[in-house]
Amino acid sequence: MIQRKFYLPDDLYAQLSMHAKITGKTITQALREFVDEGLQRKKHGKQARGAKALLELAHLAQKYAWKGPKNLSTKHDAYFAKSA
Amino acid sequence: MNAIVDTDTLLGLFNVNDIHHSKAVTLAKLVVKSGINIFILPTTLCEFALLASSRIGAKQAQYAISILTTSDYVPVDITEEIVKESAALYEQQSSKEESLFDCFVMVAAKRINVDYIVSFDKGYEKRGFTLFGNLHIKSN
Repeated sequence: MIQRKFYLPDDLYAQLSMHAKITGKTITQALREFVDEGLQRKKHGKQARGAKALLELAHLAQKYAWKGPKNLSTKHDAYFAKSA
Repeated sequence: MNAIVDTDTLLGLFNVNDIHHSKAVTLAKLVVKSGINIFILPTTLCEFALLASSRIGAKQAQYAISILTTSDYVPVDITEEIVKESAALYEQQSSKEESLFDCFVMVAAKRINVDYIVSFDKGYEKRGFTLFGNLHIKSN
């Protein structure tokens, strides 16, 4: 368990306290569950950060015909040793 | 969902001659379509830049690094803990094919709890990681 100090707006804390009271949980327990649910939702949401850059890289390589050895991706350790 | 991208995939995308180029492009399209967030380690960028520069061209490598680092990809900080853990994992490796770069990827993947590694390297599967490519290309 990690202990950190957070500030909550008064109204948010009031809602959280009310929720905890209604569901018979402690405020800490209710807070942990909300954080967990929120993170799970975010995790399954579609954000695709950085993903388009991969496609852009491929499009540029095709547009300008960037060519290297056929086995560069599979033998990159060996090529790295030669390059170093 | 989150995925960490390895050097071989970047090289596959960057090199139209590469045997994995078409598969890498298919993967990149699937990553976008699936809404996967991409994480790239600074060590991966370094490995990619050296190989891309020496085998394809310095200007092209610089261009590629610029595209990647100015995108909204999620950078991963190499912390002291990641370095120590990666070094410890590297000590356990039995093959010269398993590089310290790979160890950084595996340790970071565990620490940030990613769902997939985007790579063609089956070695990651042997270590218990899920390759984005295999799972998705087989099922699509």
